[in-house]
Amino acid sequence: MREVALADAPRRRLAELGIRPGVGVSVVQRTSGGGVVIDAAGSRIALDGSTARAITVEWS
Amino acid sequence: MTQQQRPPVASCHSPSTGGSARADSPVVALVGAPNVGKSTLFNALTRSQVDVGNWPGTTVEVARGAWKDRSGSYEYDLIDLPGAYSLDAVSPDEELTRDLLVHAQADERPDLVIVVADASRLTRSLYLVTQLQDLGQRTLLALTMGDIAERRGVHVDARELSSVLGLPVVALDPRHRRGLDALADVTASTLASPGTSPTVAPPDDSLARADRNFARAAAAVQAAVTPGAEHRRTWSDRIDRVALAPVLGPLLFLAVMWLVFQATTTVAAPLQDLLDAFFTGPVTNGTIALLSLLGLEGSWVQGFLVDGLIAGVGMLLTFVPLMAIMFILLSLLEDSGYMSRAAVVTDRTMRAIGLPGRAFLPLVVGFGCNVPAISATRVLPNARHRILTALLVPFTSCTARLTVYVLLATIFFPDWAGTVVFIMYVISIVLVVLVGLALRSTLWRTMGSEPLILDLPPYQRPTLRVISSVTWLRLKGFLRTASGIIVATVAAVWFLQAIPAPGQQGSFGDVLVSDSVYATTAGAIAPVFDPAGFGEWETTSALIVGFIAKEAVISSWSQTYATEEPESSDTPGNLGTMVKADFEQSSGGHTSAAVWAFLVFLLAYTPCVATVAAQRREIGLRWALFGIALQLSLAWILAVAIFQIGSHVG
Repeated sequence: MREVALADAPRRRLAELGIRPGVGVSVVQRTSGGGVVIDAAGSRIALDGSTARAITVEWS
Repeated sequence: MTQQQRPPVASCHSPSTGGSARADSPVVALVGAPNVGKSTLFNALTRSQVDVGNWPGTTVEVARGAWKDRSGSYEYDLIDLPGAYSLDAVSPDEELTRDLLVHAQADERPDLVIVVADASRLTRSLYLVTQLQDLGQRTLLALTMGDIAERRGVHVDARELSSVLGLPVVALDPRHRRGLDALADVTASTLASPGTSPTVAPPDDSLARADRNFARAAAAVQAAVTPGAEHRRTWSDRIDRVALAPVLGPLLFLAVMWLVFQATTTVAAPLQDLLDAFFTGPVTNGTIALLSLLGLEGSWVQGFLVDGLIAGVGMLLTFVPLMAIMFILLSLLEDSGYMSRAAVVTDRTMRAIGLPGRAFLPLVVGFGCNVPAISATRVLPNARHRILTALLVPFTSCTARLTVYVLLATIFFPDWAGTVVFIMYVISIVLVVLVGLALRSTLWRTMGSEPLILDLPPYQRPTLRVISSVTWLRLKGFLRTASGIIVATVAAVWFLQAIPAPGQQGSFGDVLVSDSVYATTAGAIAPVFDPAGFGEWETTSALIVGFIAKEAVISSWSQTYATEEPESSDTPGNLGTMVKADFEQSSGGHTSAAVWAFLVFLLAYTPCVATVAAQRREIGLRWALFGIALQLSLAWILAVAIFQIGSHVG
């Protein structure tokens, strides 16, 4: 994961949930309305479409 | 901590009820992220002997209870603080936790903080631990969900974790009450040890510090945790393949909502009827028989006992099965983990009207009955969302209002009664959406713009112990708060109906309703409704008892017109003729306009006293009163607008 283009509060919330630059994440599932569920260190985090789009990842 | 410094829980009832600890007991606070089993641990430690109430000055609910040994060798004052991922507050609930731990004076802070952490997802909980350590707070770590971690192949070395972090670590399983004694031992020894001093002066929220703490947490996890096989699909993921799928997910959600709705209406109704029949039948008859033995038959004593007290208490108790069903369903949905999925599935739809996804459930339940719907607002983790949703629920048209719609539609619009009822439901939905938008744009401008970032806990099988204790706790809370309001209101109306108006025939407890002070009161209020076209005292009187319960509107009419209650609301008979004459007279010939105005008023004003009682319980008295003011003014404005426009056009 490379960077998160979001305001401070949601970026911090993502960091608390283990979604930080440098961490490996993977998409587990797509949900209705353009959202995704991602796997970050074993937890499943649901994100809405616009939040998911704000996260830039580097493929590995 | 001394007695004065202990923040009391809930001003609505004495903190000494339930299971408060002795005043000099050390204060131990439970903190942790949502869904880590914190409340389950709290209930296990206190054996559900707790006070639940809003923290003073907030609508944030906090539970407090005594955690004591059966032999009495220790006793702590245990506080269950709202779920928080960190001390960087985002919601009001998290703010409270932050205030108590960061901003409070050193001697007002808890003597010990137990961080409850999910062993299967440890990194995030440790961030909070590092923050607390920075504050110099005496902290210990309780690891839950070890079974889920092991199943995923994750192994946590508690001893290693303890030495890396420099604080005690206890592994336990609150759902099966394992490890609780060990926790008590460690708590005692930690309390006996000297506290550490803050490493950094609070408050320092710099991102650099946050990064350092994240790094510390990550290092501790690396040292103590053997990770499981990565990217392995768990059975929880397999359920989510259906539960969160783009098309199947919403369908499954609607099916679950349908079941909840059925359970709170079709299943609950016969139980309510049974209890109602019990109170109006055997209990009433028994009381009358007993009174006649004492020679009090037909006296005001009988009136007070039967029409005031038994009617009031009976009404309260008929809600018990309904509320129990609601609470069982809620804890099932929450404990299993499905509620988080429902929030994801409904997120986009609800976002369009500016509400969080979880508000869907209370609003659906509201179309059955508003009272359990208000209690269902508990599923909203954010206090502001809870208030907003609890204020919107009364605009969902419950089944009690339906009977009145059917009666009036059959009387006035016999050829298209079905359409009229349908339109009422459309208006109800429109009102929920519009009032929601209006409240958001005035009271909470920033709400609804927050992105959805939601942790999905793994599904787990709900345990009977958790469900029964949570249900019992909530039911007890409802009865305690609701009883006063409901019984007092029913008794007050009886009292007014029992006093003969000056200059009228009859004596106390033996007077026709039309000759009582109650009729005089209704007559005094009636002119308020003149501009809406239904300013007759009979109509006003029906609206006043409709404040107690909408079921009472029809029986009030039959009582005031001294005619028989119709056998069912679609065969109005005699009552229809009289109601019709009334509306014709009060509206000056514009009957249809007046009836529409009345129907909309009935939809929009306070649904019943039990709803107010439930609101008081969930969002506090002040917001409940604000709700009443909102409903009454909106209902009046709409009714007047409809009549004025209708009578000029028609």
